[in-house]
Amino acid sequence: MAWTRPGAVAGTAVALIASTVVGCGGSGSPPQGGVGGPIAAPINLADCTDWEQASVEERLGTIEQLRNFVGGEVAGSGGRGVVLDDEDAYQLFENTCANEYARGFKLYKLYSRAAAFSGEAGQ
Amino acid sequence: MLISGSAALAHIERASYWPDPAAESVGGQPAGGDVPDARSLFSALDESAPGQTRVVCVGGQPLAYRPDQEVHKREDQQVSHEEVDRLKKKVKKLRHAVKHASGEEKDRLRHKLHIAKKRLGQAKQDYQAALAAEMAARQAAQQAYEQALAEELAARAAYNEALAAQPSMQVLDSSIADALAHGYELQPSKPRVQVSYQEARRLRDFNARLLAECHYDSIQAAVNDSHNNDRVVVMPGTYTEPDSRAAPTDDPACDGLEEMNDRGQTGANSYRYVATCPNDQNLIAIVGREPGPDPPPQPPLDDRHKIPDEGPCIRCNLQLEGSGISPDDVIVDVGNVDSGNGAPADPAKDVGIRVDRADGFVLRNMTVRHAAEHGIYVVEVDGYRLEQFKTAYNEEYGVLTFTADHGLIQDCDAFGSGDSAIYPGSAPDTGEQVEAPDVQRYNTEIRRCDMHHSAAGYSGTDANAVWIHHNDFYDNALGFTTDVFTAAGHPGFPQDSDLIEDNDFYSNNFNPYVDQPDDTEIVPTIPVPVGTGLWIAGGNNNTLRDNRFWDNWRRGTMLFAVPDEFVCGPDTGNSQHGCDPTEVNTSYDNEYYGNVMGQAPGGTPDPNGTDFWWDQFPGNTGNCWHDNVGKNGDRASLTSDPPLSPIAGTSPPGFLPEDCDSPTNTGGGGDNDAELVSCLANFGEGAPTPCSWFTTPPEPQP
Repeated sequence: MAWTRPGAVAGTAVALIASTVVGCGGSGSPPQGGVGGPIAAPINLADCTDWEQASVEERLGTIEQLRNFVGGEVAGSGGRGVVLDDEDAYQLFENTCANEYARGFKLYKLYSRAAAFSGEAGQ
Repeated sequence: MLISGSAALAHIERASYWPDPAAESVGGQPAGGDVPDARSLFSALDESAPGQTRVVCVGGQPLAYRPDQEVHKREDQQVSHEEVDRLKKKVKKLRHAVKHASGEEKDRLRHKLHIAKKRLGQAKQDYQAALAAEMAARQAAQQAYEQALAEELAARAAYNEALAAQPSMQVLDSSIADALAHGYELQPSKPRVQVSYQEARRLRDFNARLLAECHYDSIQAAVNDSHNNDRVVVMPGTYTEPDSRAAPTDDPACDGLEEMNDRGQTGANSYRYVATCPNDQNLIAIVGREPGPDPPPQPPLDDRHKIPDEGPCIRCNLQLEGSGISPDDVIVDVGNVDSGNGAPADPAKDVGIRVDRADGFVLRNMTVRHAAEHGIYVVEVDGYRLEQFKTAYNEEYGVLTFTADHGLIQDCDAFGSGDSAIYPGSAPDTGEQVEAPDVQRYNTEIRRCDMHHSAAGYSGTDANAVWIHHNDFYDNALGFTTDVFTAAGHPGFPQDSDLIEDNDFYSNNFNPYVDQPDDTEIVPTIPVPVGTGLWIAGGNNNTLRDNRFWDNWRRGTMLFAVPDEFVCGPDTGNSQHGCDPTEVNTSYDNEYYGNVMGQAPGGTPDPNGTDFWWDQFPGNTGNCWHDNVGKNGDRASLTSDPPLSPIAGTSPPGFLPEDCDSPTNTGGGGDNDAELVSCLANFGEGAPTPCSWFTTPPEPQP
């Protein structure tokens, strides 16, 4: 069976997210403007090395961008790509990118795969 | 502020559409509608053929072709002695007659004898004169011949010296010498290709003819000057395209030509952007059409059939080919030349060769390496043929085709990619989801290729109706993946209707997640399970038959559903119409039969960790594994998770289904999805099951 995701997210980094996200409208309301600014970064090439070197603010901006990147309309299906909760996304990258072998993992690929299984993981 | 560590090479792809699959006439030739034929190299200089040929060589300077000239020697002339002989006989006869004659008759004969003697004397003089003249002529002819021969040999030597010193010919000569001695390697899994002396001689001579027509040292420059039905022939050498490398990335000249992509992002480069700034991202860009008069729809259309902003063909039916003896002779290098066909790539551009809306495109006989993303990138093209080529150490994909139709990829060697060696992304919906007036058909064929030493050999996200056969997948972490990941950017969801047959999947135990030698290192960009032959990660109605899987230490094959592919959001008035996730779920109706598992070609048992693995996702139906054999050549030696049914040909719950249509052939859950979640959805703290994918499994014993 799928493992159960903790209901309450803990840890320093996530606390930082929470405060930043809340400051920008909370997790139910995607961070706007002040977090990441206009989308201009190479989201299809950003990888775990970039994540590890980024500030929390940069990470939050990237998560916002990923939400749009992955959550677009799925042509012909009438649906949209499923997205992760921002806190889950942050923790996903923290857990994965801490490993040396993951240094080249593309963030959008990690995100989209995790999003596809988010329902399972969250059960 | 956003993460931008790799920003220098970045770009975001535009929303892409499947081209109209019907052929159109371009200069009297059909473009699209089918896989284009390849024109023979030896017809490249045939002026009666359609199109014009442009020749590229190292140095870009022509050398006039000089065929060997024959030097003719004067034939000896025979000097006739017949007249002398005849007169001698006559004199002799007259003498005899005089001796036996008398009277007036004797006087008459004496007179005749006198005349005959006189004639004989003259004849002797004439003969001597003719003989002297002939001897003189012979002497003069010999001197002339020797002089002409010397001149010809000198001219021939000078030409051959110039030819041999020409850089492209030097590469060719070296390659020919090696090929004659040892053959050349096209696919490492196959015997070397042998070359005859006659073939080599003919190819060298034709290259000498091509050299006479060489006016380019840049492939891009030759492409830029090309039109519909034209050809670009590239002579042996390494092409780094300095002008393309110097072209700015994110060129301010193309500001304002971005568009909104699938994800609602502005900033994706439009087709007009690519046409205007072709080397912004690409070392070589083949822009096949004029941009349409109207801008692309914003946001993109939900229906991705037919390109909405397509202009007329300007470079359709273009053939780009190397003129060497093998793909190793013509190299398009996007990065570090000194790395050879290895690492590090050190790329200067994202893409090696981009083929954009260039219907009827043919690429042959070259190597493309060291791109930051894709070596060869074919997008929105109807009709393409890629053959006799190699891609090496392109950091994302060796070959990426995207929303391209009527494609053939064959006789190739693709390796060293962080994602996959060959990736026919979003191949058109010509499988079970085909829409009239189109008919169900395989739109892309991939055959006789080696895909190896990459995170994945083959990947096909939302790649529909692809026919993959007679290929070798080895030395990857995962030999083959078809999936629905990143579905938002890929039209064609859900993936379906591949035919995967007569392939070999073996020794996919390469672990890119540990330290590797510098010169063969790849940096994986995806998480996949080391030691796996093939997986279907969300896909329907795929057929795997008559393949052989052996020596994959984790698993031969995996099949699992991707449960939350998309969500039905608020109706935007554009694309939410009809959204019903229950109707488009994955994975259903995948059939595996006639496969040999855990046995090497000679019949020696060489097992996979587990032959067949299935997640048993609740509600999935129609998946079946039947008439396959295991390491001992029988059903009993198959290994699977869930286990084989106690009775062959049945599908009881909790076992691997063998009866495709049984009402009990339904996924019932189980705990196999825990592995997927721990490896793919690793968020939250304290995940109880660490991901095992990045550790090489122990080799299973026969």
